[in-house]
Amino acid sequence: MQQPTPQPTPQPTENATKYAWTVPPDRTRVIGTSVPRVDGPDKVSGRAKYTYDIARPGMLHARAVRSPHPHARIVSIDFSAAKAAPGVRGVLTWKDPGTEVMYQGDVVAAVAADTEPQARDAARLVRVEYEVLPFFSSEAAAMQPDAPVVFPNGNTQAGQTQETGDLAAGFAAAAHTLEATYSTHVITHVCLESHCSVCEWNGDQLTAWVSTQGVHASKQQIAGALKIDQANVRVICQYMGGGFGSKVTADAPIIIPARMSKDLGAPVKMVLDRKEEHLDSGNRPSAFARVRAGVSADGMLTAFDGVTWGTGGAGQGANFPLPYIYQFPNRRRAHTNVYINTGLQRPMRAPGHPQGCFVTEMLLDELADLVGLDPLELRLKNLPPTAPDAMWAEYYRMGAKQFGWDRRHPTGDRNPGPIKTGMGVSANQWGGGGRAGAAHVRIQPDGSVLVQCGSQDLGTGTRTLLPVIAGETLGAPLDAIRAEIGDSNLPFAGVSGGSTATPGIAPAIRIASGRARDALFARVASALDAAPEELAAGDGRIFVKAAPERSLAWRAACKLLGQEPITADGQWEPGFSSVNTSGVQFAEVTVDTETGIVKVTRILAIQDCGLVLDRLLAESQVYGGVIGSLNFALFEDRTLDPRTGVMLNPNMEHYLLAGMTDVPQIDVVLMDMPERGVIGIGEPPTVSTASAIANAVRNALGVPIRSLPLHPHRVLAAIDAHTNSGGGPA
Amino acid sequence: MKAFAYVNPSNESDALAALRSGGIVRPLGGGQDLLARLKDYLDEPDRLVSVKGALNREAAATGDGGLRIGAAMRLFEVAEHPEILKRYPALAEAASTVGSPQIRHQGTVGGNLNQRPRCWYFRQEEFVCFKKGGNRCFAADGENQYHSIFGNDGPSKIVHPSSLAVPLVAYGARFRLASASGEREVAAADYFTLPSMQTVQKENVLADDELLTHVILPAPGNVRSGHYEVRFKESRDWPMAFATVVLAMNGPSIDSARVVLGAVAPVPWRAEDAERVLRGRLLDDAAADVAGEAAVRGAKPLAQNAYKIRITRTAVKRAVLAAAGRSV
Amino acid sequence: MHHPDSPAVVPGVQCEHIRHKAMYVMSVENRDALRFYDAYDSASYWCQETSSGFGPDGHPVRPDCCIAGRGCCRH
Ligand SMILES: Cc1cc2nc3c(=O)[nH]c(=O)nc-3n(C[C@H](O)[C@H](O)[C@H](O)COP(=O)(O)OP(=O)(O)OC[C@H]3O[C@@H](n4cnc5c(N)ncnc54)[C@H](O)[C@@H]3O)c2cc1C
Ligand code: SF4
Repeated sequence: MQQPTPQPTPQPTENATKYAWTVPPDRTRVIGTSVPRVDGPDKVSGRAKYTYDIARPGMLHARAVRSPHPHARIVSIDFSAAKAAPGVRGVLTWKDPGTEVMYQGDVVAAVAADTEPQARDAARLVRVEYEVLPFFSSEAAAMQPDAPVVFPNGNTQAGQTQETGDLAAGFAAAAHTLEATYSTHVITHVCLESHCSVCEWNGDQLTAWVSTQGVHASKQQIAGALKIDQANVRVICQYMGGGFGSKVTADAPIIIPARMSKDLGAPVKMVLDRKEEHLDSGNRPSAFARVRAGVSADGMLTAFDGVTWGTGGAGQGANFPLPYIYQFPNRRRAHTNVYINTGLQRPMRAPGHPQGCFVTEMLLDELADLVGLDPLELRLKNLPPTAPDAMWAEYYRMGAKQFGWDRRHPTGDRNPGPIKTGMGVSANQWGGGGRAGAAHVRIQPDGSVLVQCGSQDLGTGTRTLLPVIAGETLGAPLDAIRAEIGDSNLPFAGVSGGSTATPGIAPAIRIASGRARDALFARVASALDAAPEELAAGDGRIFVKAAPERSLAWRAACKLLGQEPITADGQWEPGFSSVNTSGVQFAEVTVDTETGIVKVTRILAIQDCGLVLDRLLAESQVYGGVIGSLNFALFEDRTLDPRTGVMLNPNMEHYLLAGMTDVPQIDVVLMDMPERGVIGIGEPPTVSTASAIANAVRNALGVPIRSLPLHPHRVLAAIDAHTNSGGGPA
Repeated sequence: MKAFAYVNPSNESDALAALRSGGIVRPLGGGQDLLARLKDYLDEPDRLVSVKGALNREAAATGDGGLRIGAAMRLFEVAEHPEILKRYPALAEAASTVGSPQIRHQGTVGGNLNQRPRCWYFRQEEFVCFKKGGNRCFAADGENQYHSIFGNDGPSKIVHPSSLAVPLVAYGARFRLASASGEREVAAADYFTLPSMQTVQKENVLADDELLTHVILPAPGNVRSGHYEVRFKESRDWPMAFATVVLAMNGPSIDSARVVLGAVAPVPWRAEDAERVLRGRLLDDAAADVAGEAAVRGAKPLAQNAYKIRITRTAVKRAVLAAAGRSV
Repeated sequence: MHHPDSPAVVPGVQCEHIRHKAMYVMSVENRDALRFYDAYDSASYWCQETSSGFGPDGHPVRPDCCIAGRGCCRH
């Protein structure tokens, strides 16, 4: 039985003092500097082997047979033609006849063959007879009162209404009220490396190379699904082309090859193609919010009443935080999950936050105009009190100066000509506190160091954190340190998700390294004529604190170990990391009113993550987050054919993604808070770019912007709707 | 993907002979369209005949002051060719924005002109539409935001995908087509065909055993040309609407005009109303405005693409301004 | 509220086969989050028995229905 998660923060231990992140002034820091990724050269030169690149002797290739229908009952499955096809070694039934497929791309069966092309061709020869059933391809269709029963437990599921304060009094206190409906759309994760795995059995032991955000989590799930001992499963993931939340589940692309490999007595590989990836590897749910909100004459938010809904596909929820960050003393919110026949949502980088952020931030700009206040002023008046984990007011003021907010014109660019410019802002918040992770450190007598941790690097640079932390702590040169991650035979670590990986493992590596260093001090102290407590390590030397000229070079010190290496272990402990971050973003755009085309010209992101371990890695998280959110605002849009429920753009062509030239100047300001310890930064930067961009578009055009994505035709429609309603500036 | 035989002839006549070697045979240029269609199970030829090494890859002057471009010329070469840049700048510009640098380095002139539609129903196997031998056009009442606003009375609502076709029609180019039994020349404007129930599975008059071997451009004369593409993304994307204008000048005023629209119709679309209103006008802002207005007269949007009228008007206006040497 | 991914899956109430990401994300409680927004559940769920978002009976996996009374539910 699983434990309820998560856990409250326990109290710091004595290790928190002993191995605190502070660095003595007589030493050069490694932590907080810009250390390039240790595996960067391997990645850019192609030496890094991703799961996609794994090839095992005698390996077969599996390919799924998937439903072309959004909803159907499987009447029969006929494998005879497929079995006779060249190279085919085996078939597997994933869903039995009589059961239903619930979306286009739902897995029915699989085929394994000698080569991938053979498997692809053979999968098409599996004849599945379907009885086509009613389906929904939109939230609106599923919400019709007379809609057919597609989901027997309800096509929709209403959540509890949450209410705080006195709504009537809130609206009574309002000088202005606004009613509007906001919405965001479904996007998919689009990991560059699609979901894939290679499974190989040796007796009753399974080795699985999986593109996964959690080698340990995958191990447990695979064992559970196959009903074998977790100790008999080893999961390896050395390099990974992105997950964004979609690679936590051990799903068909792992379990199918695991089962077929057992049956067929050969390693089996399964790699999804881009279409399968779009259809059946997760997505971010849609969000709709019908909001009524009130604001006082002096710009204090008084009331918020929101009815929300959204879809996470065939049977999954779509909730999101609302209102987001800003304080409405009186508020009510009722949410309904709507089920439609599409692939299922999975956590996607800051689940729920971009949606809640969009609704709230767009609403705030409209309220600011009603009151006649600068939108930044309105925000400053309604933020939660400033605290180390709630620094928005300070960041907004800082950012306004750096970005040139004083050059922002009031809503609606009055300059003649078709190209309008605008600015927008938006805030974000995230938890990002990890609490589990173990590490092992070994100092070899030749001075080389092995650091092991069963975390994994989903592209964030996790591997590089091991030498950064161990190098800081041991004082060993970085190139003497070898980092091992991405293997479930290594010490336990949690999933790389929820921005918890770094705060989860960094304390363990710090403690293990600290213990190893202390053990080394004990073994070499006599050679320096000092007591172990009098020693310090740094810059490649072990030295006497009081007399740094009495020192040993790192390798010379290690030589004194004789033939006996030092080993030390560490576990996450409180006191090295914390939870809750805040950030703000500014956006500047141009909008061509004759084409509807939005170009983002500048983004400023101010973000904190406690102690910055590696500046390059932290900044790269912000770049990636901003670009992802820009894609959400402008480009990505899962488009379904309304009459067939079939996805029209399961590719990277009509499913638009920013290219290099579509990415603007991005300025990142990392706010150092070393005293708070390590906090994750993977998610918060992707929360607010989209709403900052959308508000900048609103500022440029002077028309309400209430839904994403900002495709040209939708921007033109927003302009037209406003003009036709006789509107001046919004 | 169905296994196919691969033929790599080194000259035109061998290539033409290979086209008649039986079964379904397709010429292969850079493969940027064809290989994707094979992988998506949209086409299942028995044989591919590579024409990259068989067809001409140069741009050579013709006796009457024009230019003759071999169909194997790569798109990046079209974009960078000094004569094309100087005398047919709209063509060079159109070639320079296609897809991405990789696509422009692989893609050929012949492949660009003969590529199949990018309609998202056509490109998804699940939809067996008129173009694939089915009995309906899914875009007619489906997601048709990227479909045609002109020439869409026929069975298919596609827009022609070729960027090069539009300036070529505007410059009055002709195409040389050859088969093992002879050759012919067809005006670019007559090469592309509006879909009828009989012709809906093709976009042009090319026969299965023919190749497009050359593009022949007439001497430009005293013209100014302008080209404008309304593009959302700056790379790896398709223009939402675009226009080439070629203006024969008489001093400061326009003697005659060719205005051709792209991504709005199943063929490169001549905007004859716009050509008429430009005739005899000074080349100025007002000319750009009236040409834009005239160009979209008669547009018949589908349910979701009325916005294309506005961006088409913008494209024409800006193409005229570009011809006048002005940017937006 | 819990971590934003954290729904109310309580051992002994929901089926032992139900899974969601927060079970594998080792996070500390974000106790202060209530200051910023109400509790909500954006989690996606799957079933250990089927390795998919649908249970052995073909119906969606959700904490509100993966409870005693559902045929496939185990404790
Ligand atoms: C993401 C993306 C964006 C793109 N953007 C654009 C764009 O903006 N504008 C644009 O125009 N195109 C665009 N393209 C398409 C690309 O330009 C064309 O695919 C390319 O020019 C085709 O050239 P090719 O030589 O590779 O053609 P191939 O794929 O080799 O051939 C295409 C077709 O033409 C036939 N063919 C080839 N050569 C001849 C010949 N000599 N005679 C007769 N038939 C022949 C082939 O049989 C095939 O059916 C884009 C493609 C992608 C993937
Ligand atoms: S679907 Fe059934 S077996 Fe699976 S978690 Fe829910 S109740 Fe348990």
